[in-house]
Amino acid sequence: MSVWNFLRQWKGKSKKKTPEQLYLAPEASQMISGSLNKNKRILDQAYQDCADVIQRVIRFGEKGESGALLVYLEGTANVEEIDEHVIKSLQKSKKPVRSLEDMKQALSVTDAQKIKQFADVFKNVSDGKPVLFLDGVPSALILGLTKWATRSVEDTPTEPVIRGAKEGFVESLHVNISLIRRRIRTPKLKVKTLEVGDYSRTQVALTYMDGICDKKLIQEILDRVNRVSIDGVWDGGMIQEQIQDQRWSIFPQIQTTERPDTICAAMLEGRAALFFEGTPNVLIMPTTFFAFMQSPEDYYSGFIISTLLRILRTIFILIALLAPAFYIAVITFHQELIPTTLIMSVIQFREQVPFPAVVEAVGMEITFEGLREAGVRLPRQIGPAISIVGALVIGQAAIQASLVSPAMVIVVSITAIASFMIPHYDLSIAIRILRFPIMIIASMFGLLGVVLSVICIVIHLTSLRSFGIPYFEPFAPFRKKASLDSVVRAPLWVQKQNPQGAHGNRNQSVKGRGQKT
Amino acid sequence: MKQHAIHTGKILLLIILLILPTLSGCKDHHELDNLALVMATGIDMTDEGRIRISLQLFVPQTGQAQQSAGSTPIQNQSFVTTETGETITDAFNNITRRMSRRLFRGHNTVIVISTSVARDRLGEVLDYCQRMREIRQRTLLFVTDDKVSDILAAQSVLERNSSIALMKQERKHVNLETTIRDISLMKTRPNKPITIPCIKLTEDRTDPRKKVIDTVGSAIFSKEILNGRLNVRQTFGMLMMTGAFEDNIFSFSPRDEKGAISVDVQAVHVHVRPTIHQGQWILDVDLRGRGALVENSTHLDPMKNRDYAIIEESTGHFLSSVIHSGFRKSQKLNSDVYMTYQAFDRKYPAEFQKWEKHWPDIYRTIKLRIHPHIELIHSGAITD
Repeated sequence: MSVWNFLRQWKGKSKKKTPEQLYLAPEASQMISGSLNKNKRILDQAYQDCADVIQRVIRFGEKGESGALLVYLEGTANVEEIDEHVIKSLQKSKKPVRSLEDMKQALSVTDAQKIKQFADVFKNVSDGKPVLFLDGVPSALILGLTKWATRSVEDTPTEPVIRGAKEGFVESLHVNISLIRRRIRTPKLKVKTLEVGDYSRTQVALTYMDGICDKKLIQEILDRVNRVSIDGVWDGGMIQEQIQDQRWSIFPQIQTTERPDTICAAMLEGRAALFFEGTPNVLIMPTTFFAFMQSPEDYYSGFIISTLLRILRTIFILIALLAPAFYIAVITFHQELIPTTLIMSVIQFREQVPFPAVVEAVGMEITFEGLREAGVRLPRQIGPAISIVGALVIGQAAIQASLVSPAMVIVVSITAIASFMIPHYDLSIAIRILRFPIMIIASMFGLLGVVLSVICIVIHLTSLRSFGIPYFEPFAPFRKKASLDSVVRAPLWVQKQNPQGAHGNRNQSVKGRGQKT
Repeated sequence: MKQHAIHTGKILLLIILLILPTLSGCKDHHELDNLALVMATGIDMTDEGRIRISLQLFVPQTGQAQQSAGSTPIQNQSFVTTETGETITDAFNNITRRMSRRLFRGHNTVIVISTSVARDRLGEVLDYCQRMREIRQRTLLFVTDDKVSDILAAQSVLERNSSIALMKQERKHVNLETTIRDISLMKTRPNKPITIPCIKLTEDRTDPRKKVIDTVGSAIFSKEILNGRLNVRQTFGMLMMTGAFEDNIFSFSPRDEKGAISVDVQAVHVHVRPTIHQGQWILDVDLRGRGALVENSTHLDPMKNRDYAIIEESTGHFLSSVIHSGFRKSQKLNSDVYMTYQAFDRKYPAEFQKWEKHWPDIYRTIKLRIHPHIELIHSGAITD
C-alpha cells in the first residue's frame, strides 16, 4: 500500500481557489444600483466580448417614461415567452410601475425572484434565466423563462433490452428527474441539488428514497462530491473517478446507467443516484460486482430464463477473462491435458505458425481490441467496411498466411463474444484489460499462473468497497437472502417473502450494511 | 522531489527484482512445434538380449496437404522408428538423440510388448512405466508374438494410426482394457496374476496388402512371468467372473440340435459363494444374465415355452462351459486371474491368511460349480 500512498503524494497538491473567484466576473461584488445606466455599464463591462448576451432596454408607461433593462443569453431564454409575457405585459400595463412588486404584478410570469447583487445576476443569466432591471430600483427580477436545447427522449443504444422500457435519459437534468418522478410517484423520492465544477457549475442532483436509503450514505455522498475540485464536469465519469472508494482499482465501484427503470429499482433497494446536467449517464452508488452482471431485463422475463441467462453470463465472464490464458497455458505447458485427437489437429495447425503461442495470442487479442476500438470511433457509414476488413484480416487471411492458427482465431472470437455478454461496459472493459496480464503470467507459469491470477483478482475484489458496502457482496461476506438475487435470480415472490414486510426489510438491510462499515 | 525520484528508482528496482525470478517458469515452456508426439511404444528384445524400442511418432501434415485432406481419404500420419539399448531408457535416449524435437509421451496411449520381453522382463517394463512421469497410468498394454515394429507400423483403415485403432478396438471388442494402473493393482494379489490382451497382425481377407490387428485372447502371467494364453472365449468367461464383461454375441449349438443359435448375452451378474469343506475349497457361482436371441438356425421355436426354456438352459450351459474351460486353464497356469481369492478372503479371512503363502497350491485344487440362470428377454421374432 505504501506504493500507492507514495504515488498519491507524488501527484502534487493543487492550489485551491474559491469557486466564486473563478467563475464570476470581477464586478460580481457590486450591488445593483438604482440607475439603469450604471447597471448597464457594469453589465457591458462584465459581458465584454460576449456576443450572445442580449441587453434590451424597454420603454413603457403612458409616455414611455419608465425604463427597464432585460438581460438574457441568446438561445437559452424562451424568447417567445419573453415577448408575450414580459414586453407586451409591461407595455400593456395601465398601472404605473414604480417598484419590483408593481412589476411582478404587471408581468404574467410565475417564477420571478428578487435579487440585489450582481453576483446573482451573473449566475442566473448563465443558468439561462432572463434578468429584468427597473429604472430607479436598486434590485432586479429573475424570470424563470428558460428554454435549453435538448434531445428528445429516445431508446438507449448502450443498454438495449428486448423486454422492458425503451426510453433512456437525455442530456437535460430536469427531463431526467421527471422520468424517474413518473415512475416513483411519492414525495418520499427526494432530490437534492448541488453544483460541481469551478467554471462549469454543473447542476448535480442526488436522488434517493427517504426511509429506505441510509442517511449516512447521503451525507457521505454529499461530502465526497463537495470535496471534488474540478474545472468542469461533462459526464458523471469525471466525478465517479474521484469519489469512488478505491480510486486505483480497475473495477468500477459506481454503476452507470442510462435507464430510468434501473435507477428506480436501485433507489427502491436503498441506493442513491447522482444525476448530472448535460449527460444521460447517471451514477448509482453503492454498487456490487454482481450488479454489473445484471441486466434490467432479468426482472422482466421469467425467473427461470433470467437465472439461466445469469449463469451463462457468469460462465462467459470467466471465458472472457481466462480463455486466451488457458489456451496459452495448455498449449505450452500442459499438452497432456488436451485430448489426443485434438492435439493432433492443433499441432498440424500450429506447425507453420512462426510465433510462440503467447505472441500469437497477445498479438491477436491486441488486433481485435484495435478493431473494436476502431469500430467505436469510426463514422457509422464506414463501420461495415471495417468489419469486413477485420473478418478477412484476422479471420481468413491470417490463417492462410500461416500467421495464426485457426484454433487461436476461435479462442479470440469466443473471448470477444464473451466480453460482449457482460451487460455493463465498465466491467467489460476491466475484464478485457485484465486478460492481458493473465495471458503473460500464463505464458510464464502455465495453469498455475492462471489460478494465481484468479486468486489475486478475487482477493482484490473482496477487499474493495463501494461507499462502505463490500464489493463482492453477497458472496463475501455471504448473505443468504441477497444471494438469491445474484448469480441466480429467485422468483420475485421468494425475494419479497420476509416477516417484516418489504419496506421494513429493505430499511433494515441497508442500515445493517451501513453499520458494518 | 529529489527524494521522490530516489524512491521511484528503488521501487522500480524492487519490482524488477521481484519479477525476475518468475521468469524461471519459462524453462518448462514447450512450444507445440518443438514436440514430437509419441503415440505408441513397442518394447522388444534382440537376439543378443538387448532391449529394442520402437516408437510410433505422429507426423503432422501441413499446409496444402491439410487443406485437401477433406477430399482425400485420411492418410496414416505416423512414422515408426526403432533403436536398441541396454535398458529401455538407454534405447529411448538413443532415439532422442536422432530427433530434432523433444519426444513427448503424454499422449502415448499404447505400449506393445513382445512375448520375449513379456516372458521374463515384464517387471522391468512396469517399473519403467511407473517411474516415468510422462507415461500415463492409463496407458494400455498389449502383448504380441509378432514383430513389435510391424504392429506399430500397421496402417489402420479407419483411424489415423494403429495406436488409436488399438485403443478404440479393445474397448469395443473384448473390453479387456489393461492399463498400467490395472497391472499395478494386479501385482498386489497373491501370486501376482496378470492378464494382458494379446494381439496379432493378420492379413485382411480381401486385400492382402492391408494388415489388420486382431485380439486373439489374453496372455496370462503369474509372478510377472508369461505362462500361457486364454483364447477369446475363455477371456470372456474370465471377464464375466471378474465383473468386467459388458456384452457379446455368442454362437453355439444347443445339445441334440442341428444348426446354431446366436445369443446376445448382457447384464451378467455373478454371485460367488465360497465354502471350505473338509479341506476342499469350493466356489459356487450364481451366474445371472440376460440374453437376446439374435439368430436361430435350429428347429427350436422360441415362441414355444418348452423350446424357450431349452434355449435359456443351453445358453447357461454354454456360458458355464466357457468359464470352466478358462478356469481350468488358469489353474494349470497357476494364475488366479479369476480373483477367487477375494471371495475366500472375505468369507474365511483366518483360513485364507493361513494359506495365502501357499495360494498357488490351493488355487489349483479349487472346485468351481456354476449355476447359470440366463433369462431370455427377446425371442428375436418380429411380430407382424
